[in-house]
Amino acid sequence: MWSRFKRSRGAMAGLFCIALLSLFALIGPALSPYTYDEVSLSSQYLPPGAPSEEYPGHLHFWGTDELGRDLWTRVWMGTRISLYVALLSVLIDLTIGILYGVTAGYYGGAVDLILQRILEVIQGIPTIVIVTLLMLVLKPGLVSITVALVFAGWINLSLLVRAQVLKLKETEYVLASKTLGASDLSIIIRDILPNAAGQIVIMAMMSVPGAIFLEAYLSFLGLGIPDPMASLGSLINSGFKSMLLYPWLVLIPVIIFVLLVVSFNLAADGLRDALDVTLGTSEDR
Amino acid sequence: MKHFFLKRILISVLTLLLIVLVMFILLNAMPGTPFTGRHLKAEQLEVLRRQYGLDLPVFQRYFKYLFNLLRGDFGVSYTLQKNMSVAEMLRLRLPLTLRIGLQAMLAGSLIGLFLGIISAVRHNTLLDPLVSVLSLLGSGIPSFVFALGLMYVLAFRAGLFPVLYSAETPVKSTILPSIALAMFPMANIARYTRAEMISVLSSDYISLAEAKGLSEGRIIARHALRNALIPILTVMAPMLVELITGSMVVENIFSVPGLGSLFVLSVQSGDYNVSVSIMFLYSLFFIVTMLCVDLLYGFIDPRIRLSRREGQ
Amino acid sequence: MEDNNILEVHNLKISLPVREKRVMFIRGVDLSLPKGKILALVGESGSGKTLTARSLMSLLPKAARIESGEILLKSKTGDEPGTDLAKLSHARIVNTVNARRIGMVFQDPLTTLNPTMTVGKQLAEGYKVHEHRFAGEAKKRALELLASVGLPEPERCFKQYPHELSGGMRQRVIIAIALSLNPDILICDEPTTSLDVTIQARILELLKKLQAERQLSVLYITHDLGVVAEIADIIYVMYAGRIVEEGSRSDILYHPAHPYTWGLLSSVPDMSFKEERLISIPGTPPDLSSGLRGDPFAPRNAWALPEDFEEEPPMFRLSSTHAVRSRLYDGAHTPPPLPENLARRIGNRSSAAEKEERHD
Repeated sequence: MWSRFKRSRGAMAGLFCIALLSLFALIGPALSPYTYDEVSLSSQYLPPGAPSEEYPGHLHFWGTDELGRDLWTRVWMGTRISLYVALLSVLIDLTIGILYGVTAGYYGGAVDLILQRILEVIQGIPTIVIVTLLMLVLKPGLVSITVALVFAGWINLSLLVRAQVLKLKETEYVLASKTLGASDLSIIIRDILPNAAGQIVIMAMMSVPGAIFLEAYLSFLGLGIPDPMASLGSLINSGFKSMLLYPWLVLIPVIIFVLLVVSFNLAADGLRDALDVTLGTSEDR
Repeated sequence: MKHFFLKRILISVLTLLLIVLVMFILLNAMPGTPFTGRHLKAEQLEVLRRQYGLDLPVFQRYFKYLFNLLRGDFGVSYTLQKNMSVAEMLRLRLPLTLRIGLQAMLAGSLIGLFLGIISAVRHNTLLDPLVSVLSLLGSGIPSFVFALGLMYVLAFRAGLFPVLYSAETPVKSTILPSIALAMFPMANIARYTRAEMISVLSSDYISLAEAKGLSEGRIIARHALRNALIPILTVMAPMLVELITGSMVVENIFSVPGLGSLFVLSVQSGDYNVSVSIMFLYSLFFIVTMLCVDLLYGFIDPRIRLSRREGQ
Repeated sequence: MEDNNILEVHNLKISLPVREKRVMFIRGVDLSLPKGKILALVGESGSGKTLTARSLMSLLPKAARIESGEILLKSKTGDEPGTDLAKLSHARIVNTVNARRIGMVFQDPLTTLNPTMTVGKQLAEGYKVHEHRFAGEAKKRALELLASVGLPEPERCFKQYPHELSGGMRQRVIIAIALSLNPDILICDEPTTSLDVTIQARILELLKKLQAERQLSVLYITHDLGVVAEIADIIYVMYAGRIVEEGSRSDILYHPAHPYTWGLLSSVPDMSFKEERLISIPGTPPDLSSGLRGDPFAPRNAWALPEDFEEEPPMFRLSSTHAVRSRLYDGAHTPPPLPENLARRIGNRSSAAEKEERHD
């Protein structure tokens, strides 16, 4: 499977980009002498590459914003927060999804019936509505935005895990384990989850860009990360206000954002194709 | 079939009730009341509370709230336009949002379908990777980025369109927001259509149609498209949500006086009644659309139609 | 083109891409279909029989390519030299050859009909498009056809969707569609493989009856030698993209010459030899994508000669009807006798067949 994944140039490029952006998200802020919230009213709106006033010999690689804060530091800090929020929420989604999917799919019966009806009702609500309503009540911040993203993402993963469990429950090897007297827990852990892992990982991977997207929208609406902290979305939002005069303030975070989302999409697509082929489906007649 | 209709409608109604419940709880849980910060005396506050029905027990208030919503009475705005009926505010702004949304959805799905079909049919030509790259970018770039780009290039630099919405040129003013919103549905529909068409075109019944000596055009129009459309329809509905999300941001960027920008304003100024009412409207719209799609699905796919008829 | 042949294939080569390189899956096939006869093309799955048949109607997968060879189809009147289908465009073949000259019955009736169109519409479509008939007349013709393929209630069936019919009924509909424009050639691609055994027999009966009534020339593709014995006039045995033995029905069934044909015949269960172990051919078919050297069957062949591993043998003619791709018959070697248990089975079968013939 890995060899198939490697052969897809798009997927490899995506993976490489994710690795590179993650690396810079980790070490980028440390590469400059500034902190993300260091205000300097004497160096507002400096263009990229301008020399620093406070730290002689250093440059503002990507210029400064309306409060004279270093954009390089803020963009990588924002990338870090966007990634952190998206990955954390997907991880929580995954946990909920597996718990739900296994309960509903494996034990089935009345539990499943009731849970399915509840999900059907919840699914009828557009996620953006739940999320914005939630953000109105909660105090803006990292925790509340993560909670909101979890609210938006858990249903899809839960349904996927449930479907996988339902399918795998009927397979020969699960039946074999059952006849050998294995406990439910060991069947779930040893037989079902490892075989569902591929699909679940793909789905999780595919929901990361969605979470990054949603966080950006919320930040753009002013419901996201509060100043002076930054996410890619909030940087784009504040940069947009002075876009016509200082285009780099919006251009740089937009480029990073698009790179990140497209890379995740590419990598997820590549992963799906690689797994699809190993499952024995191909495009030829 | 009737059974299925009833079940779907029942679920939709339940969903709506749940939304109203959540809205109600949230409105009550919001920090502060509409009257905080107005330095009112206790008895004045009491009068106001009675006037707005805030002194009733929770249950009664919920049903009163629900009843009012169903009558189209969303209450009044507290801060944005003091005491103006929210319903009136929505009514004034709804047409513009609907117009932009419909233009975007229509353009997005038609172009998306077209691109998907040609790239599937011309699978081995250069057109196919071109469409793939296009749809990758379209689904990877959020609509606000498109909006910013369009605004900068076509409006600010080239001057072809007004930068911000202007009531004097309403038609021209909606074009850029519509394009920005259309990119996401277009890209996704193109992607799904391509995948569906490729799998349909390699199915046995297409071979049969070729064996019958039908022309390529007829095979695509009569045999492939209908079968490919069924799964595409299901992904179009969730796209509406993206459209709603996008419209809030895009309206804000272009200063379009629609629901989306009103929503952002109401959030920023803490006019919860307005925010919640807009959310209600969006949910209602979404639920009704999902219902229609499900029913339409039954019409297009005879397998579903008949299995339901027999299942009764 | 010979006079009594309606279709001839000469040295047909077809390639498909495998992991970015093109692999020859049909490696030079020759066959002749005489007018009004049933030709059975027999082989294991993957031997290329379906690909060969589909190439006649330009129904190959998009990535497939005809590398060389001729597919000669005699004109309807029979006085012209015959058209080379390999040189016609896809659209031209679909428009002029398919349905009008060649009809096809597919393998899986469950997936072959369009699920969102009624049976009637799918059947009448051909008339409307090709003969520009009005809906009423097309429907009348369609109903007649449905009745002629043995569907009990044509009117009702006309209005139904495919999923409302059983597999056997759907296969009858597909046969009706294949015959709707009166083609003179019918290709049957394992038409009974995915059906129940009892229905298999009835579909086979129907095909035999229609062949006789309409004087069809049939190319019948199957891996089931039981079916072949039932209907074929001529038998071609295919292995790894080439014909290894061809002959009349009695040539192949009673005097098989190629060791592969021996293997095929020995692996058929025979009711009269209950106690006997079935013999399977050792080894597996070759992977064509990894490159071939010599006779692809040689590694599985107990009678292989040293030179078979170097170079693929040519066809050797045994009689006017019978030819085989094996150096055992090049005149320099003494052909080995039939394997003992196969000889016993054939002896048993031929005496049974003689008895039956005397009864007729």
